[in-house]
Amino acid sequence: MISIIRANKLPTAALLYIILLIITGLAAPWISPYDPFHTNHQQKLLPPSIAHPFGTDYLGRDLLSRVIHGTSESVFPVFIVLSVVMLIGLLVGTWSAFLGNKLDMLMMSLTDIFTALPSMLLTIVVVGFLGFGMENVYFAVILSWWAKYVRIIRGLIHDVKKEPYITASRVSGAFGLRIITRHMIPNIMPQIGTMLILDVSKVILTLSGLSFLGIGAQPPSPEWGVMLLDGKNYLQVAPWMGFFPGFMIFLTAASFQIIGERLRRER
Amino acid sequence: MTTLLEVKNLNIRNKEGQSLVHNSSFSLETGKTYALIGESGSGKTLTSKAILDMLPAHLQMSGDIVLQGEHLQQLSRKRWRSIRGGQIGAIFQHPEQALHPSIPIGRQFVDLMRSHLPVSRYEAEKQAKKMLSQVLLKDTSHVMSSYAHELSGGMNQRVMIAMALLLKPKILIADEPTSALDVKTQAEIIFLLKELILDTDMSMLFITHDLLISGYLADTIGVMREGKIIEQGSKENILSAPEHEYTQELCRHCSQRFLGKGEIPYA
Amino acid sequence: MLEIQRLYKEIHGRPILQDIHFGIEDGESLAIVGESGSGKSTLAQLIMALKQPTSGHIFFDGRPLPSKGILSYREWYRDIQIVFQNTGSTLNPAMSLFQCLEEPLINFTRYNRAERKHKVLEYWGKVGLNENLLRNRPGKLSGGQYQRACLAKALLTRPKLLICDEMVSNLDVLLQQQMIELLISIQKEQGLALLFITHDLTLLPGLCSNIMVLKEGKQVELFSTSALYDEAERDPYTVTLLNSSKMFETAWNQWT
Repeated sequence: MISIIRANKLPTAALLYIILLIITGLAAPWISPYDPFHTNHQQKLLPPSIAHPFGTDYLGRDLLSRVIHGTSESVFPVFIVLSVVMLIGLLVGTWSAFLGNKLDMLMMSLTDIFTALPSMLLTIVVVGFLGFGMENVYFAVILSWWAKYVRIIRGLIHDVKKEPYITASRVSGAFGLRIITRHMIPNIMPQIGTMLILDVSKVILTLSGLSFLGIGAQPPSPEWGVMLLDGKNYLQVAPWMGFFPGFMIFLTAASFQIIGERLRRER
Repeated sequence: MTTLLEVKNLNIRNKEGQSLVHNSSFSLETGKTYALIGESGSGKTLTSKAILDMLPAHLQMSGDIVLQGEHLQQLSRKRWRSIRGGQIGAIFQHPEQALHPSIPIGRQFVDLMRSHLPVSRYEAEKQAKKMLSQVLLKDTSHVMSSYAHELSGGMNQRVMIAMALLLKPKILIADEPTSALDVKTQAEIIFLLKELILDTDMSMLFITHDLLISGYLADTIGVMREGKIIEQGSKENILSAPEHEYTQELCRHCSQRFLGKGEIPYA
Repeated sequence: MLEIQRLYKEIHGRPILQDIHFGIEDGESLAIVGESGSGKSTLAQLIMALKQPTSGHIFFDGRPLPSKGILSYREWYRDIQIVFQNTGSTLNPAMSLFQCLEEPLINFTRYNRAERKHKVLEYWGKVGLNENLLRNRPGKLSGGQYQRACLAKALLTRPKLLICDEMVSNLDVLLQQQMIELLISIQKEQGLALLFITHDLTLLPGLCSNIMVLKEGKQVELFSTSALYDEAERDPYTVTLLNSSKMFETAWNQWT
């Protein structure tokens, strides 16, 4: 155990950080020192100090409390978005590869169209139609990501299908759904898991990027992208306002990337 | 009788310090064939890879390999490479994996020849055809323009042999060249190797799990088990009076295969 | 029991098997011998209903080869099982060996957990493997152990016919011999019929009572093993196959 950690210092640190982040996000109401929405005009734009470790913003709100509360709005939705995307990918991709008939071809043409569309453009168009707000952004991101997962999972299942142990499992009396759930999916799970973790950082960047553009979460939400947008206007007077949320986005995205790369090397 | 290749106290260990080949010593004489026999996992293939400098990076080797008075381990990588190509030829169990999949056979011959010798393309092609007809391939120009996957296993192995002999090596290392072939093709390839050895003054290190083939092909036999050479000597001595229990068992097994000729145990 | 009539198979317009016809009786053992490319593996796949023949019929106990419907396939596989050539990938690498072996019992029988465990252990011991190995993944096994595990898996549901497709071809010589001996003892004990597919004629005496030689998809001859070395009666092709090992034999007899 210790030798594993010693050989993987950086991935271990990244993993620790992510565990800590998730705990912080879940326990936000109890551990944040101040109310993240409470404004105090006497204390606006204070630099980091012992009372306010991350400083305060232009309305006098405590930045540390806002960053802590922001975790549940910046990071947790990513897991939900990716779960939905993976579920769609598994259902459609497996079904498409397993049957492998004309529907498969139709499905692939459809995913071709979606992968060809620039995802940012698609998202902005969808939000433009449905209006601002986080729910619409999640929907738009799912819409621009599902095709990639369907294609990759279809490809993986297609390869696994040719393995001798799938033929052998038929002879052992496994058919249809049983082959898929017991013999195919467990064998492609390692690849999908690695891909998911690598994509977490991309989705974090997309979501906070959209908030930064002003089409995702709306103020006064403590979402990190929104906070970054606030900080942009005070970059000269109060650089800490942009630095801390931006740094959190960077750290989180980098941590998931490091773990994903490590897992990829494993295989 | 001169000693061409000498392996002294060869040790191969993996990262955990486990010994995979333990204090192996043997020597190969000019124009003779040395057969190294053992079951899979006995370290016979690792020994051949050590001579070819093809050991996987995570393995450490120590000991001395001397080729015509030159200590291979003290040479630079570059010099070793030129020796390996020019003086040691090698053939393996799966020729399909050793041949380039997307370059025609003929061009692979020409490229190999021209990378070692200053010959014209025409000259190289002529040589390649000559080698191919020497390994009893009939339609040489057809073979030259084919890709590896278009030829059968036996044909590919012949192509590999021709390629290994192209630069007129002094030593041919054959690592289980017939284990993946059926008995009829196996007999043809073994017969071919025997003829080639008799025709030239080449030496051969033949690695196999089949004592029967070594009995036909070898002058000297070494029996390897669990990383150690447990017994070695002239073919006559090993076959007529095996000392080690394991060798005795192998001999008994081979004799059993010819039980019969009228007295079939199955009634 | 198994009845094959005028079987033809073409793949991409190329004939692979032509006019194959033979039968296997209860408890009989038949060997199919041929070079690589002779169509012997295709024949095994056809009998296992993994491919459908171009024309011709396969019957088992009067039932025709299944072509659709899970139930008819299940019925077929309950009676006929197969051990494939050792490629190290015929057992699901994501499952433990116990799960791999349990699979046919779950699909074919109504045994409960304890009964299944008992059965798996019984057959695991019968093929001579150590109980501790069951917890491992298939990747941990050596070539010989792997084939034993596959054999145990095939025998678990007590099939009437066992097909061995080049079962020992990738194994070391001594392991081959052990494997053949194991097959002989299991065949005697369970009285199952055997279809042994191989390229090596020397493996057969003692194991199979009849031999069928296959060349380029055509049936060359079918004869009793006791007449194997009767060169006058054998087809020239069979003699060529036999002679493949003769040159080794001559050298061998010279030195021992």
